Amino acid sequence: MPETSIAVSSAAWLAYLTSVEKQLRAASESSTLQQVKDWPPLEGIDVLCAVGLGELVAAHFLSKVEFLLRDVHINCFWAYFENGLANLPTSDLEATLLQALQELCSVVEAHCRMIATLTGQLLAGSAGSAQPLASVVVTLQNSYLRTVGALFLTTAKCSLSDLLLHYYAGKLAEFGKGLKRSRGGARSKNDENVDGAGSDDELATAASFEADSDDEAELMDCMEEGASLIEVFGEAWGQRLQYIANALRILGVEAVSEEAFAAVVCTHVQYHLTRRTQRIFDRHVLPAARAYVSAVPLEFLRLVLPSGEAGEQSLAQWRLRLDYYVYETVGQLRIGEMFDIVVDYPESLPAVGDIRDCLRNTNLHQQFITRFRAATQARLLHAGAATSDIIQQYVSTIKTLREVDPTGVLLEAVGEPIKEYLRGRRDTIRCIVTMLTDDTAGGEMVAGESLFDELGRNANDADAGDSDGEGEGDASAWEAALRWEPDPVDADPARSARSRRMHDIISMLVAIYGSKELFIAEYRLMLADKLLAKTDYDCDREIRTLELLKLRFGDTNLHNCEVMIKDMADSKRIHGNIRELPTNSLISPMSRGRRREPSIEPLTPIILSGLFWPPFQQDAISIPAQVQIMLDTYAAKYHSLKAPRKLVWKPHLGTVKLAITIGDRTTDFTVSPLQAVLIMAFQTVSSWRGSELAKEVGLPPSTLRRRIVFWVNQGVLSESRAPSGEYLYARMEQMAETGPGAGGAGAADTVMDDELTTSVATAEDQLQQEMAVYESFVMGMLTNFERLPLERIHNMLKMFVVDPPYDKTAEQLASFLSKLVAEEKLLMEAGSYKKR
Amino acid sequence: MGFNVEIKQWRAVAAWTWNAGDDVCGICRMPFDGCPPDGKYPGDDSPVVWGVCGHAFHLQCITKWLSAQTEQRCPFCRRPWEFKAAATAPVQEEPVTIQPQPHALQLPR
Repeated sequence: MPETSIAVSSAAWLAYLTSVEKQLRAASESSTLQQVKDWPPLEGIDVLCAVGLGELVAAHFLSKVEFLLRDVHINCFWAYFENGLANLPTSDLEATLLQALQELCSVVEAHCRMIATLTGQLLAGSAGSAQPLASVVVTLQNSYLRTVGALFLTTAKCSLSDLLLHYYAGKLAEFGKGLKRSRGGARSKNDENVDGAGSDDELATAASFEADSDDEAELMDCMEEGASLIEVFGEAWGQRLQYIANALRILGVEAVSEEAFAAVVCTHVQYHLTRRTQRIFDRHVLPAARAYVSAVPLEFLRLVLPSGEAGEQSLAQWRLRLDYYVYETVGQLRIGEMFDIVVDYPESLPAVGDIRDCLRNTNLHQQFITRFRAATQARLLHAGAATSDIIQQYVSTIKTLREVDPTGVLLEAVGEPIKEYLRGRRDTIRCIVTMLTDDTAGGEMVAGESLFDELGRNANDADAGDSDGEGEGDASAWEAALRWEPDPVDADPARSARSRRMHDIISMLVAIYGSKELFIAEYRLMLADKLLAKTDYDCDREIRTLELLKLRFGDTNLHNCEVMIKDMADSKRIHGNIRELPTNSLISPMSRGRRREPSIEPLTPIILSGLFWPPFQQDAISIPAQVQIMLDTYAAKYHSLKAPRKLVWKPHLGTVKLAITIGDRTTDFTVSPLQAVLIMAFQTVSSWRGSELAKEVGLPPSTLRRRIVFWVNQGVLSESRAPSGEYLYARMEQMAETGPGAGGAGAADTVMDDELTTSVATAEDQLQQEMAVYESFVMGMLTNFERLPLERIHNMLKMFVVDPPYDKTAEQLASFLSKLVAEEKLLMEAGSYKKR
Repeated sequence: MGFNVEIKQWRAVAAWTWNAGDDVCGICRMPFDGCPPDGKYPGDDSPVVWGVCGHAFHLQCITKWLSAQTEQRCPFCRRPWEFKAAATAPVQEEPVTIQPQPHALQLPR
């Protein structure tokens, strides 16, 4: 390079430097800023370009500007916020922010314009030279802006995002508040019904989101008159916001700003949805929430986002995003309270509708299943919950989820643990059957809620369901194929869709145990109990229930029950016939030789077809002669009418109505035959020894004591102990006033002994009876071996008892053995059993 | 002074039986106290009858059997089948003396 050109170049460089210094100083003084529209070209650029130093110029200019920004302008900006921002009210914050941004922006704008001029010069100067320069120069502006953004963030004295969060949150709250106020104003114009109570603050927090019935409509109105909102706040309010958002965009920190307002908007929406949704199940939240979102947060975003096409686009994106956010948030809130929603069903139907819509628009299914299951587990499936409550909740769950998800996938996932748990409870079947057949439960349950009603309802539409399900012809099969839809993705592929579609509540309940046989068996037991406890022959109610059950389970399965009910009707008819039969026309074998026929007046027997009733508890008692004669006479009359059929009495079953007179007071009792027999023994003899009485009525002494306590409690008998330790029972001469039977002088009391209300053998008793077979085996074993642990007894039984095969579990055996221990037949010592 | 127990109502429970000795009908193998395959209800609707030979069957069962045979014989002992006259079961020692209407085939009322 020649000497001269070096000199020229350095002169040009110096000229460039001075002009740059001058211009930058001018740019820093904000007062001059406004006047300068076009920056004069810098000097010496063409020369420098000509010698190929254009690139150097660009780099120098950038670094120069960077220094200036870092040391002066950005410091100035942060100086505004030196005192921290937590204590700044929004309006002050806005003013400060506005001023700081204005200053910084004007500088940056000035710099940008200078860069534009410089770029033009450089391009012009290097028109003929190599290509690379052009690329550097063209990106000059961009790299400048990037530098600004980077500097702005890295030199921050306090977090910019915190600052913006604070600001945007304040602005949005103001926006909501203003909306509320404008709405309140509108309302006060419409009707004079403004709630003067409630401070302004409260109204503000509640914003426009507090619920009225016309809330949604008003929100829609607000949305339509979006422009009028601006009027409410004044144009400047929106402009300030817009300016700040724009300035941040210019400063290259758009990302931070966007992050901040996105967070603010989401928090805002979440807050309001929580207020609106939590613990409110009787109202649809979604439509109002979506309307609100487009009325408030979206309008806010419209101000914050850049105007023009890009802004419209991102606004549209935001609309979708917010919509989804609403679905998601409402869904999560509702899912968290799903258990309560189910409890409140059907009052909570609107909430259920919300969940359905949310699940349709989001992918919260998995969360739904997990959280609802967890809630059910924690709140329902524990020892403290009554079985009937669990079943009730299960029924509500089925009903609710049927609304939420017609495919049944959710129900399958959520219902499984409940089913599993119910299966482990002993009284589940009994509870279900009770609920199913209890048509008297009007009081505690809402009409149409009880399972009995469900039974009636399903019976009505059962036929319709069946007919279209079983498409036989080609046409219907084709239609079914067209209607086919794939299972949802989260469905368990091991199960068929058909099993899932089984939504009918009764069959779901029955399916807890997998088969209806258990169910019907339990129903039969309960029916037998009910019928035996009756004192008349009227069983219309039972007939109704039975007819409904027959529709559901089929006639053949309930044949036994049908016969049982028919027995009642037959008993009534035969009873009528027998009464009409003249007493003296009959010479029965039993009463032959007696002068006087005993009266059968008090007898109202049930004559049952033994094979069709469940097995009865075996409890032999000796009936007093007085009653036995009545029974025999009755049986003889029956035989004469129905020969060759005979009656076999089951003396321990039934009920007896007694009137007991003690002194001058008469009290009515309704008791079991056993109690009656016990008390009748005292008619002729005033006191009994326990053992003698036991022999008289044919009971083991221990049982006698348990049963006779009833009369002692009633104040009819007294119990004392002989010196020998034996119990003595004597009739009272005076009815004890304190006895429960003494409620009012001569009042007719109907007391039923709890213990004996179940006359039918329970499943447990039946098991005990089955186990009784093994007693001799166990005894034999223990004779040979002296002592054996449970394990070995179990194994030996398994090995040696083949006909019928021993099929009990070790637990069943353990309970049987402990019963033997309780009966003092065996002894349990150090984990092994031995004979006493 | 007194202690008296008066029975106002005694709801007793009894089960009827055909008293037919052998518990199962030889034709349908169902209990006599139950009902034959065609019968719906036991008792009056499924009566049990005895032949002179002493074998008992459900009325429905023996009627079906007899109508399917050319010769009227007891399916057990192959003796000619005749319905036993009185309603008394063979097990019963003492016949009921007052019989409203003696009938070849005793059908319970």
